[in-house]
Amino acid sequence: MTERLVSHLRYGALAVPNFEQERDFFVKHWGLTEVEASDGLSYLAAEGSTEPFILRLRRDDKRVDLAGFGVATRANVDALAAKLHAEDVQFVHEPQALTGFGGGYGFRVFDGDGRVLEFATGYQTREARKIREREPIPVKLSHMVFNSQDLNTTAQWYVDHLDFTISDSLVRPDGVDMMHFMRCNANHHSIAIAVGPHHSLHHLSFEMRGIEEWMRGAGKILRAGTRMIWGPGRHNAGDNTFAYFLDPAGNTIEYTTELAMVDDDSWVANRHDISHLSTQDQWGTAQEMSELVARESFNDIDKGLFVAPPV
Amino acid sequence: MTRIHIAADHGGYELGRALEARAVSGGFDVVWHGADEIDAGDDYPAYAVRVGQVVVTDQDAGIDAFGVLVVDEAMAGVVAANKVNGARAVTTTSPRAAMAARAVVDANVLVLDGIAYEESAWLNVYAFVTASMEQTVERGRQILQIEEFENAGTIEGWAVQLEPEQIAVRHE
Repeated sequence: MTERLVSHLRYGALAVPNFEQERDFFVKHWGLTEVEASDGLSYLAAEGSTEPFILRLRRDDKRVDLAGFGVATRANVDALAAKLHAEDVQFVHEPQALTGFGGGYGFRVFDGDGRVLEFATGYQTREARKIREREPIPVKLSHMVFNSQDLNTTAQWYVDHLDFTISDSLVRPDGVDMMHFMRCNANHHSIAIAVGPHHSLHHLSFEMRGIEEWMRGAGKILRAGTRMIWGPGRHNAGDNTFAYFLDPAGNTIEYTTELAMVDDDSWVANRHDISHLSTQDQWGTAQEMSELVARESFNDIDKGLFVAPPV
Repeated sequence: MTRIHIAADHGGYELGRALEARAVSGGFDVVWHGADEIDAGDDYPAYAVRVGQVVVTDQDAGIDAFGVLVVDEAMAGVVAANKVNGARAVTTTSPRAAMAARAVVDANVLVLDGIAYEESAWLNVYAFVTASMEQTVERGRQILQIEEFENAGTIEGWAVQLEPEQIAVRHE
């Protein structure tokens, strides 16, 4: 059993220039709840999650601000910080009391490519509620995927420093890696890294209660005039259903459900050939993951690399 | 509490009011959308569209809602109600069929003939608003294909053709 100091993915934080439009979309259509707001900053929670928030939006040039991870205890935060220091990981700040919404104790570092990661414990949790049958809103944040222009280097950083494990990979017929799905707990993946022309956000994925709620939510987003760029389908890697949309800032977002759970000790990572249609979509109904579809999620170049967000 | 939106044209007014009373005493949150009184010359499409719209609006807002439309000819009401984006209207003559419509296509509007026997009509309504969709991926996928076509004119997902300058250079 791999002992990991990182317990789970908590939230994604994005900066977008069309802040009001993006926030309104996530509240009015996507189904998140604004729990804290100040000028140009919005914290959005999922009703089914105990996390104080799962998405933070900030008004600025478009960039990925943060990926937030949970750590079980204060001792583990300190142990992880000590480990990363010993490995010469670049820190944004040392373990300290966090001043953002929810508080807690934690620290921030740059990953190998310059994305900012936060590790925290002891923050104020939120009272979650069971999502009702047929309620078309997310339960929680499922996973966060990054584009990388150097896939294996990026993925290896998460293995070496944070003890993530590759659950499955997508590969080209000639054996070249295209995507790695990586876990830090029993969820098949909490983050994934995809080959892209540059470092950027590939997509944020939100977990729905079940099939009916996933369908209801996706129908609602279609009616809101949002483009579904890929789906509906069901992935082989992770076994989760998917429907991908573009948010007002051009970020790809996903409604998913039924992401596989894996047993850490017995799970054997697969290498799925992307030229086999069934790899991408078990149902064969979503259109083939062509280069055109892939480009939809290349996103803009992340301007936040090795630049810490102001908050 | 499950909400039931009810509307009826002249051919369905009496049964519609009877179902309204049964639904209220059954503990449902009932909203009547007309007609206000029997109007011998009224046309069903306006009622069909109104019920379809309020149901879809409520469902998108996370309110558990269904529609019941009682009209002279149920099949005509089905055609009209299904013109509303997101409405999935059916007509049934047995509780079993009503449950099947919920299970298979997550139907959200039930259309009944005004001449239907009240007891039987109520059993259809009750079965309809208390049954669940089949929790299988196939059903969800099929409904989303309908909704995708309804909103975008395609069925299997789509990608936009990018201009050459928008296509990123790939470094192998």
